[in-house]
Amino acid sequence: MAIDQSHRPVREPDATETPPRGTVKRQWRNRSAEAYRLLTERPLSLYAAAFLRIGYGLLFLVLLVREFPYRHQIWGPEAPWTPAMALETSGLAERFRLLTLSDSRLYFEAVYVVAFVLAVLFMLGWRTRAVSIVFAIVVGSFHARNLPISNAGDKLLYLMVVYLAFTACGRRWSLDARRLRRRPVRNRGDESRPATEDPRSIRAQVRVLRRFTVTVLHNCAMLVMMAQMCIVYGAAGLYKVQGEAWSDGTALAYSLDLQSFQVWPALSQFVDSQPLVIAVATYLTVLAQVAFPFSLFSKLKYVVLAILCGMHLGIGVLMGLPFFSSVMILADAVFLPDRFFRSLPRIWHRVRHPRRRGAGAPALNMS
Amino acid sequence: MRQRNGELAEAEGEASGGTAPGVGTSGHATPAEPLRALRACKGAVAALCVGTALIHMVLVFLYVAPSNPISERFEQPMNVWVRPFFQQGWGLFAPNPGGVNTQIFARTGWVTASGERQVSDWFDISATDRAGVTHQPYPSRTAQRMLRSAWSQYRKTHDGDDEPRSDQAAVWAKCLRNIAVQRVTPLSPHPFQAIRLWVVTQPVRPSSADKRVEPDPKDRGTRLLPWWNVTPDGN
Repeated sequence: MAIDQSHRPVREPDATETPPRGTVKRQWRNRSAEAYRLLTERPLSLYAAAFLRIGYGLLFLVLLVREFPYRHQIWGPEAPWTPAMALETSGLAERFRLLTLSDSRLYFEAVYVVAFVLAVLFMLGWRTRAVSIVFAIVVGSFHARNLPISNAGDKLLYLMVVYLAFTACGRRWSLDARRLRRRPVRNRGDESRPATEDPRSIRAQVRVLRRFTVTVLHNCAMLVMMAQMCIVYGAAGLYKVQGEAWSDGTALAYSLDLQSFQVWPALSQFVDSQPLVIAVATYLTVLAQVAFPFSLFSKLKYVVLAILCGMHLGIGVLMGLPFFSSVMILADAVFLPDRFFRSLPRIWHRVRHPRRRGAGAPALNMS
Repeated sequence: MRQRNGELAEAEGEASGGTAPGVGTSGHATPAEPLRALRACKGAVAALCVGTALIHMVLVFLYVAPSNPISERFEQPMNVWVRPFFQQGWGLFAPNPGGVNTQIFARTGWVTASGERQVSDWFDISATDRAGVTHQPYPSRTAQRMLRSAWSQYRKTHDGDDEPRSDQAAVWAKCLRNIAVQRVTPLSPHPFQAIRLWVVTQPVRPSSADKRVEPDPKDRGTRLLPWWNVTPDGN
């Protein structure tokens, strides 16, 4: 990917002699130069990253609050899944040892409080880089402490939080952004000195390199998150294709009949009694999941994303898996353009003040 | 992703992001040296980041995909990189959604002062799970998952004779026992030294599925597990 840019302005002498070959070569060079520019010029999808940061901070908070009465049985000293078992079966637990360090109840409660505070700080975007790294370690520790009781939602939450630590997810919609906005204008570029500083000084170069690294890391992490979602849906779809129940269009009915997921038994039975609905939803699920990675390169992705979102909402409500569904829907948001996220405050404004439609919207500046 | 028209000009990103090296090369002879070093550093950073990202994506893909010649070839890096940190599997309700509902009963056993062996009645230790799920928009994972996942792992790692044949199997048996002990302790009429589980499985018969997927033979009917000793320290 790293292209020697020094060659760019120089004209290729043989480009004119053998046009077809040269053209292909130049096209290729242009294309990779464009890719390099896209990768290194500035962090992309900053709003999507911020949205994911807020969402995952909030979801982890919700998890900690929801399981508060059961925390000792899940991650604490009373868990049937003992620290020794966790260490014996999972490589992750060997790496993230925060919750397997001590049997002390006091220690556990302290970690719980720290996790709670970190989730809030992460959500608000306070000193985001440092907080996001520590938060990833904490989320990893909770996840690793009791793998058998965690579901696919926890796994994806952990993965996304790890990836987010590499992004510049605190640049938008965060306390960090607010602090930067409130600074006097001339100091805005972080720690930047007045423009009189020699751009060739070591200090200036280190700063340039640091900024460059932050940008490249961010863009790569966003790319990895997208690839991760392609792997999730691609694998989920392909594994389903192999199953009889998914190919004869009845899989959802089986899922609805499982007692562990029968949150609203009457509703589940009603849906179960509609074979056509079940078959359509079953096929749509498989199709959307398998098609997902291929739809990303066109506007079709919005249709597929909408179908998958609907599917997750259905699972979340019907099968009592709201946490898992929220994690998945949030992860899908990584594919939405910043345009969309920037229009959210405007839409929100319009919803709240329907009369002043159009008048108040342009004045609202959120960045 | 593509940000061309009407997107915010990211002042901070553009100010020093890509322009600095280009500016310096015009005219000045001496400063070109450090700027070249900077450019080399940038190239190295970009190559390292992109390389790592690509390798990560490929390894995760290979790890998630069914075993194949390529993933066998790259087993070593997968064990070092993916397994400890990025372990994942996405066979959600696949290839087939679980076709059974499970009910688990437990009874306790103890020896009286006169040396007599006594046992309790059977207690349904999965009843709390059903109560904890029904009409709960967001059930706790202790009700929705704890016992169910321990049992399904036990079932996967043990044959019909309930002999633990691997370390993994022994761990799962212990986990299942711990959960059962925790749940049955408030129900047992007497402090106990042993516990026994009885698992009843019923295939799911959804009304809209006329062709039924045959349940796993392991799943059919009932299964009586052997007595397990329970010591106060939990071993």
